[in-house]
Amino acid sequence: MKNYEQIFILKPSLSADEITTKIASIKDVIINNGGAILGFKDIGMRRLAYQIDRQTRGYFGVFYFTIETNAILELERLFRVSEDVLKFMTITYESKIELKAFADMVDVANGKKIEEKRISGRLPREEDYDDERE
Amino acid sequence: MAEKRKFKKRYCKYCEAKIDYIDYKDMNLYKHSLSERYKIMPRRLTGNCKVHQDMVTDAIKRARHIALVPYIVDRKQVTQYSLD
Ligand SMILES: [Zn+2]
Repeated sequence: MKNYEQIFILKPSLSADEITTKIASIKDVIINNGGAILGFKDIGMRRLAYQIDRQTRGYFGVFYFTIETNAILELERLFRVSEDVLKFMTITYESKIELKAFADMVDVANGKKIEEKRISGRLPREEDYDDERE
Repeated sequence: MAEKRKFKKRYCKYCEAKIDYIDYKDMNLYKHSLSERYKIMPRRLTGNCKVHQDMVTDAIKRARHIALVPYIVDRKQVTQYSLD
């Protein structure tokens, strides 16, 4: 069993009920394939950085879970054939640092920990940085 | 050319903040490593160390894949698109 994060973007045209149903069905697929859900982060509707299937917005959700590696193929196959899913990405967390980050993300998703944002600020302009020529 | 440098001292902000992992979903963690046009800033300009620059690069590539960060931005979009 490995630790996985599955992020997906649902079509913005879905109703609130349809989104709830779709998220529940993704959860079922993970469980039916032998996975164990550790947390769900509901990011919600947000603007896409670029158009996907002519859509400019999408509903973002993230599942944290453990599952056998083989089952990921089936999960991804289902995501690929689903018309409600605009895009998805699966990430594995394996190294010591990654596992710690994963545990923290699960805690945040479950409301056991507050998200810490330690570096912020406006987007720099390229002119902000002088070139390092002599 | 003897141009005045605005950022004389370059240090890694991530080392300073003791960040050991950069989540691609947390845009506040890599905003300052992106240019106005959403290109990854070279570390000679941001001061990021090699280790953190690699983390930043991975995070931004993931964020681009899942449409949280644009791949390319033209002049028009620069003002239109915001990370928040
Ligand atoms: Zn560093």
